[in-house]
Amino acid sequence: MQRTPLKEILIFIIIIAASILIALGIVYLLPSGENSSGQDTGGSAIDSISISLENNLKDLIKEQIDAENRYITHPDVTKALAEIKHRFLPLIENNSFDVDILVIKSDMVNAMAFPGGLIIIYSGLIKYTDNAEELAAIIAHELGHMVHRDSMNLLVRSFTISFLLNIVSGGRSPELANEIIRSLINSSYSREQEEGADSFAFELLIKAGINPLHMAHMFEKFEKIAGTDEEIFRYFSTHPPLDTRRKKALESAVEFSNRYSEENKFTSDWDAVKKALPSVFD
Amino acid sequence: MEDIKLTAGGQVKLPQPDEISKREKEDASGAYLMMFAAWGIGLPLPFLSFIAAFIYHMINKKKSRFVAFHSYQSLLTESLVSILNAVLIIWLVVILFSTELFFSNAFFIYLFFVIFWNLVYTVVSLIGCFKAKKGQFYYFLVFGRISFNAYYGKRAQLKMQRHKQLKAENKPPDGF
Repeated sequence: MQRTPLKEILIFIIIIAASILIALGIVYLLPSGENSSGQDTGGSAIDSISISLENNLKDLIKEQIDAENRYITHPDVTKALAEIKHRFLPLIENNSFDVDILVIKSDMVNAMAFPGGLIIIYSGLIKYTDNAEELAAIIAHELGHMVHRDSMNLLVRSFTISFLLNIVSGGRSPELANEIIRSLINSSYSREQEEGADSFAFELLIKAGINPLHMAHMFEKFEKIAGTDEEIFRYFSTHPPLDTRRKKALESAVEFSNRYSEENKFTSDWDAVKKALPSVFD
Repeated sequence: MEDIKLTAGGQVKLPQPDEISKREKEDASGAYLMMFAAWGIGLPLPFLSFIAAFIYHMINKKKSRFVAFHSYQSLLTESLVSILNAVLIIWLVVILFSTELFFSNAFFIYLFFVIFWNLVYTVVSLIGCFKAKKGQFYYFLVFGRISFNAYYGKRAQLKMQRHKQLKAENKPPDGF
């Protein structure tokens, strides 16, 4: 076939188009790694990282935290968490993760969704809650990060390719686990991720018969005291602004009131739960 | 640089493999190996390969038209691939240092697009290297034609004629 200039340009354009189609095909048709609840993650291709990889990371992190012996296993605390977990989990569609909600001893007011469905609540945060519903609101928010796989997104951004290769090849070491934990704690979710987790939480709370007003209460409390000590109030040092989030929670509370006449409260004795929390100096 | 030979019909008469020296063949094939320059230094910086290809072309283009053709073709292709790679790396850096952006589908689509073109470029460069080593002309899509025109085409022929005319020639004074 004689190649004229025009034919060459045409062939070139066809190859460019083919390469774009191949790239599109790879990104959109990659198997195993769907968002755990089929929810829109805003276009993140982190879905192509498998669920099993995330579960491996969870085991690694849990081992490391376990090794530091900081879990609070008091029956009142674990029972309260179990009640919240069993109320929420059946309402999350297509959840691929085995959710673990654990409390660790720390005066830090923080909660974190680690990969693989591991949610860590710091005892300092529980001390600021007045009832199980307020803690449930925080947990609902962290479950939002979990289903959107936001923590994996943070990890992929924070780490070098070689580290990721280390994870993929099954590398396990305390140093690796510590680095993951430190990175996740020190990183900030994006505004979209926080708003996404909030929206998820409002929906989940309403479905569970819990008034999103409790979320607004939490935002209010921490709006007043955030900034006094950055380290302790890290949970609230992220954007978007707390008052914006509080207003959205109040809007959801109106929606709740329109749907339900009363709240389906948890049965935990919250005073007993708070008394069971040790001081960090114990 | 040698003159461009033309047939009676005005078509370019290219040197054949047995008319090309071993040195020229080696120099021409070396042009296609500049893409490995960045790998050699161990850094994923796209402009390193481009700089290497550019320097190679500037040094070797005057040796012979055969060498100049191959080094120019390699340089043009390397430029395109370097631009694609540079955009990818800039995008990656922006994502890593930003708290608002994340690895969107658009990024991954572009990533696979760039990987595809790097693979294509590697394959055709290796073929070009192999052909040049055998003293053969090998024309990449689009860039082959551009490179050929630059050193054997009408413009190159005109440049050669102009060069000959401008060349200093001893003549007697007018009237003699």
